[in-house]
Amino acid sequence: MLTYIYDGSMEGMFTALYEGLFAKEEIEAIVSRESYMPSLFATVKIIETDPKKARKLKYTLQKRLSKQAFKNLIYCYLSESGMERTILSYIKKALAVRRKIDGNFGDETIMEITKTAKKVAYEVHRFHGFLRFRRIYDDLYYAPIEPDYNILALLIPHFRARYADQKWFIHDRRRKLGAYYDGQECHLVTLVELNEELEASLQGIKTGAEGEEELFYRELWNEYFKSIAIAERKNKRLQRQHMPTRYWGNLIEKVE
Amino acid sequence: MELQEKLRILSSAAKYDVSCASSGSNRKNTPGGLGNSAEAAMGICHSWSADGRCVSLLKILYTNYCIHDCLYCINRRSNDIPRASFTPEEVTDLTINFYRRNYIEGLFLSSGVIKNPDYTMELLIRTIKSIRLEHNFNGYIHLKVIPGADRGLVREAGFYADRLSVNIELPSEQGLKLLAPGKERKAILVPMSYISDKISSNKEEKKKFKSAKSFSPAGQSTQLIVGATPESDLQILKLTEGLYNRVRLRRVYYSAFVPVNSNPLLPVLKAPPLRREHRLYQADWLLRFYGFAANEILDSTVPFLDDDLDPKTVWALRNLHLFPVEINKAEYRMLLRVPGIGQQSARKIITSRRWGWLGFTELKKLGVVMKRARYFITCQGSFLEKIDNEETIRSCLLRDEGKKQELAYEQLPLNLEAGLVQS
Ligand code: SF4
Repeated sequence: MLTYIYDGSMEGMFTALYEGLFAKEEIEAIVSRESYMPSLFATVKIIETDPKKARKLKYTLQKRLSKQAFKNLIYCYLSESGMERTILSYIKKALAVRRKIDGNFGDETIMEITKTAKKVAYEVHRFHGFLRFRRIYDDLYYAPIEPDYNILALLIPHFRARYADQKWFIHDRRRKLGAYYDGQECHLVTLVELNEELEASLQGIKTGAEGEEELFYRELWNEYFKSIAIAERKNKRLQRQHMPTRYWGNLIEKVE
Repeated sequence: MELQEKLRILSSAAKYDVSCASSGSNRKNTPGGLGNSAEAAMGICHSWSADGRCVSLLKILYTNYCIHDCLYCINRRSNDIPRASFTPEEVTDLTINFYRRNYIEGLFLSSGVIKNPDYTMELLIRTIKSIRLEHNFNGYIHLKVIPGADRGLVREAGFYADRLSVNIELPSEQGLKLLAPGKERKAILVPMSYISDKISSNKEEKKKFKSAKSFSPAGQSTQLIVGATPESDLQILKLTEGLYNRVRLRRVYYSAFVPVNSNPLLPVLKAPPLRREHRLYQADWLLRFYGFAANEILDSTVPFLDDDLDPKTVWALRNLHLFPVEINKAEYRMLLRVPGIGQQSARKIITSRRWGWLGFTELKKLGVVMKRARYFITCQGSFLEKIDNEETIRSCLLRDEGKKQELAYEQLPLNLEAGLVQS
């Protein structure tokens, strides 16, 4: 019984998977350093990230798996929900046969991978809608988000295509990650911290970060949001079902 | 009047129009332009209002002044309510600024009729032209056509809108005469078929010339008010079927009548008929994606949809001789007709059974709703529960539903909305 510990990066995971494919011992778990909980009985092996191995495995998978199946594996990684061991099982199954295995939903592993990937994809879809930009410091559109999964990178293509003519910054507050689009290109940034002024205006305090215009449109949007609900059809339960409370904090509208 | 006040009046006046979808177009962003509506797969909802409806578009009336006096409408001429009109600049400004902040997918612009249909239509066109041309806006625009407007204006509008719609509102000619004295059925149906023809010929044209301008690329839709007039569900579904088949409508929306005015000609309701509306959406779904015909779902002996069970289940109960369906053999077409099996699970069954026999445990994993499907299927010849009496199955189903009076909206489940792509 062996537990692999990798550095948490995607490269690291692929290295661990690569090792896992050739390992003779039974691998019980593959975990990132951050999520590893020491246990008395487990034997651990630290996996050094090896870009060459990672690339090799990725290349093979891209050749042997359907496009969707490969994407699903990446989504499972981004789910940050301990799917690594299941991914290994999936890869073993997929490489054991010549056929593409994605259609076999009766299989536990395949079903689990598909399901997790769907959840991630659904959150991406949700954030295409739930994300709100605030215009700050005159010409930057800033959006704070706190998604369940690590979806920032997956959001970029949509917003890039849509808002190609404005500068924007999407900020995953939970993971301190940022995607900055400067009007030409998009950059991923880590360890993002906000200045005090901006932090304060996110708490609803009036600061110099946001101009009058910003507050004006926000007010209008709230006005709109309130007036479109039909009183006779009130259904808060349904509203919550679609827009769970955990997403409310970063919206502009005041949901009650 | 301040913009805020206008917005309050003119969005509140527009809220009874239930259509909201923003999918089905494929407008790409242009260099230096703003926005797209390229994501055809699923409509994006930006928020959900307190009534549980998806907020996707800025849905407003240009004005709530109106020369007509439709009995069911809050904006009817004889109502004493606050009135307002936007200017084209104000609508443009709101749309662009909301869009840039990712509040909306685009604009849904409708209007009361001022002076005459042409005059109103011209104002609407001027507005969406300014949004498209002066601001290079490529987001979604849904424009309501004013019944009775000149054909040339309808044509022009179609080149700037992603979707055009003409609301039928009342499902029958008598209903219209009774409650909308100023409107003629002809004034509604003629532009509908004109738009339909334009859309088809535009598609042909686009095949030949890639650069041809799109005409209402997300198709056309309409809305029917349910429960203001006495039509049966059968009449409504027949009308819907015709609209899908003959006028090739993309969507028909149903809006449970909300009594905003009182009048002896209007029915007195305790609450809007939301359950009926929900059942109609389910039946509509059967027409569009499940290969059903209206007269399979209802006939003159049963002209209304069942209150307690969904229309597919009711159909299955009336056709027990076609069941059970063997999961490992049945065609897709027939799988779709099994209660508890949707499009997705039917597709998954087809691909998964290539790998071996499917049993009940696998079906559950594939997303089949077993508490409904169990009476109608076999796996490798065996039943999970063999009952072949209509009444018994019905009472079992009702017991399982637990009478949970769930009021869902048509935009509800994600996989349903995804179905839009195929339309
Ligand atoms: S035409 Fe009739 S339904 Fe339309 S706004 Fe005027 S009164 Fe209302």
